[in-house]
Amino acid sequence: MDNNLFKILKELKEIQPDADYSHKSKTLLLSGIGANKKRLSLADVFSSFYSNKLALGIASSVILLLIISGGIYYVKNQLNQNDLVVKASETNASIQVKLNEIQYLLQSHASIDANQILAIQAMLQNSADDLKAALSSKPEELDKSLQKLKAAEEMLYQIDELTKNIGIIYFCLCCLFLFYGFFENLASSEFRLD
Amino acid sequence: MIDGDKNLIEKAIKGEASAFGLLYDKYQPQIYRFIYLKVSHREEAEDLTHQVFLKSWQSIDRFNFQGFPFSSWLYSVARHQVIDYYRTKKTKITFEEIIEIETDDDSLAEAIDNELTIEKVKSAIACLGNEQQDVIILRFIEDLSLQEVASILEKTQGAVKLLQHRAIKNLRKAMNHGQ
Repeated sequence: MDNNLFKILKELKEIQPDADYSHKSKTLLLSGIGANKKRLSLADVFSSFYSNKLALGIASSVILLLIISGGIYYVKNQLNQNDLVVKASETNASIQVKLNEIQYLLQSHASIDANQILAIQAMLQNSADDLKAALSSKPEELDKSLQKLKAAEEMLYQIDELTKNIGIIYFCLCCLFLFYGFFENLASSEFRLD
Repeated sequence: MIDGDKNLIEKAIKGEASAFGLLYDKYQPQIYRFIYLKVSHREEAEDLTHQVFLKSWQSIDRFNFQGFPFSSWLYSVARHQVIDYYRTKKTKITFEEIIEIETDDDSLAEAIDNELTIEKVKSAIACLGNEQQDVIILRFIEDLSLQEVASILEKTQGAVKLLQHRAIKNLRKAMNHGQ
């Protein structure tokens, strides 16, 4: 019985898969293998030129350097822009204070000289021109805009000095209102950098 | 390990499909046979064999050259595949079910020897427990060494000997039951 059993078991070795199935299965497997072939990495490209692990080290170092230098450039650029925005905001606030001061002085003085009126008018005109130039500057020309704002601010300081010594009432008030309307326009539209 | 095999495996690990194709040609019949004798259904065996080779390809880089042939690793993958199959399909198969499956499958009868005794042996193998089936197929049909079978089953050689003794005893019993 045992011998017969082992003999039959040996005969089971004759079992073979269907040839058509085997062919299809193999084709399917190999086509899948071709489709899933590994993609080339930067290290693979390097290793085709260099046979040791130095290539991987070089590739990593280059990538690291690019990332660091790119990061530094970006941060520096952002800092510069942020710095300019802060400065412009400070100037803007300063102009506002000066305008309020001028308005107060104009209201508190009774008499005025014609030459002084003309001088103040010219200075206000210059300030307005500077502010107009600052408004029309492109976002990338922030430092140029800042210079114009600074110039306008300087002009207003000078007007302030003048009005401290003289009495201006009606004429300068008109100029101030004109100028103030322009300034409001500037404040609402300027410094939208982000 | 045969040097030719080692060379093919190394190429397959590097992604050479043709190398894996040669390994497939060489080992697919015995893996199919192993699975077929365990599931007793041709189409299921075909699907499972395909899955075994697909998994083998996907994890071929994990194959270690530790003195055992590549086929041992494939048998191991096949074993787990069949265990998963039974876990999801059915937990136990009865002798009656085997007979029914065999008689329903006409192509099976054409492909293998028609002798009734052979059918009975096949059915009897299918009635054995999973590990006893493994031992009968690997030791007496595929002629693997005790050491190789022990490595596939992840057991000691002593444990395999014991398993083998019980498997033959139960196989005889199952054949008598079928008569």
